[in-house]
Amino acid sequence: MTLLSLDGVTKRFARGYREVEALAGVELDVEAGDFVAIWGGSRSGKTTLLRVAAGIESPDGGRVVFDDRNLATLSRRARARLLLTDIGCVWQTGRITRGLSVLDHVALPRFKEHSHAQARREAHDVLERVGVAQCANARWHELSDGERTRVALAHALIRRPRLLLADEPTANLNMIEREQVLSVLRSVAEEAGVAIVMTAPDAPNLLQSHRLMSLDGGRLIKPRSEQRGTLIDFPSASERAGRG
Amino acid sequence: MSVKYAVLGLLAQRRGYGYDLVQRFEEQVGPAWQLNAGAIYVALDKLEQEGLVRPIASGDGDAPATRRRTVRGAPRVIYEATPQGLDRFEDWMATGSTMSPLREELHLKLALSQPRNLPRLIQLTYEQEQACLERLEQHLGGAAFDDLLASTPPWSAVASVMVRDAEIAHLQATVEWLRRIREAMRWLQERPEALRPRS
Repeated sequence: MTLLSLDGVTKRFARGYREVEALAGVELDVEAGDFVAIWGGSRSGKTTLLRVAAGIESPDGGRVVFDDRNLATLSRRARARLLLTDIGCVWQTGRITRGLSVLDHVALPRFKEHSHAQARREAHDVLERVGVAQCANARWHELSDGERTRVALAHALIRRPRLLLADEPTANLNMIEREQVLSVLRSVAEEAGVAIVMTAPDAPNLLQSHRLMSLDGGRLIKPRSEQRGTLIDFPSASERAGRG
Repeated sequence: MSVKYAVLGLLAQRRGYGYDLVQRFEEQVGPAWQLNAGAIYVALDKLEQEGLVRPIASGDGDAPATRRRTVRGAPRVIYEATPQGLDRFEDWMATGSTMSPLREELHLKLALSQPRNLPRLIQLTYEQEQACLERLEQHLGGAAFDDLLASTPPWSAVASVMVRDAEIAHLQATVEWLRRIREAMRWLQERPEALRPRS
């Protein structure tokens, strides 16, 4: 069953005096248990793609459908609720709740339903799984970039989202940590049926996924097996100028 | 040709017959080489002429293991490396390696193109990137170089993953190049005055 679907999604930003096309007609279907890796360099549009998929940013054109609900038809409040329940996000610029230890920050989403001790136990398990259990008592400023990413991943995973959007979760990691993070993502997809969309700047980080595609200039390029229709037919600049 | 030395190396590992060598080549070198199976037989002939390998006698008195037949019933010839062959293989391992020239059809199309070809050339960069993704897809789920080193693998596993990684690195570099030239061509396309046709 398709959990997330991006249908002809476009997004433009003003950058200085020029308008930049961050997403140009993105088509993407993700099913439960799918682990999709998107390969894009800087300015490729990959962070925008994840923000639009999360409902944080609204598309200028096209539709984002999550669990049969068009995100555009939901209230801001309903979209925010989705981010607390069904959609987990890992951003490169993640932060933890001010004044809390890593353990409490990760346990926070569970405090409501469980006893604090149980929530902390659970948080510890997740931290261990992503390889940062040693940071449990640390504060944000004491963490390295690679540790911060993994704490953000633990924070997203503990809520057991149905969709996980991770922006370069393997950045700033050494090879053993990278392997650990990728294998956690893969097993979360395969065992818990979580749908994952992950971005990475280079090929080796993409290869533990189930599906891979490339994003360049806001255009999603897929292997032919993934392509709807025969070939990609992107409008040339002159055609676009004529239309716009 | 290097396939000749690869065959010699495979026979230095242990004896074998043609088809067996094809399979072992595929397994150890990987699919990226796109070996033409005929090349193995050509190499065996050459190596035999040079006295670097020899067929194990296949007379009637042979051990049964060496007298197995091919599908079509022809006697299956089993080869082994001669002592000179082993020496030659060691020499080859010790010498420097040559680099193949980079020959892609797309390079020729780019080189011989005109400004009016720009839209199609841009389209071609997308198609080529798509082809790279398809090749990368074949490596999905495979043991990554990094994962492997994190465990304590046998050398043969490390060796074949290193060769595999060469294709991944090559595909990555190609995609990065395609993105660069695409950006340049798009930029030029929006400024036709910057282009002069070939004189």
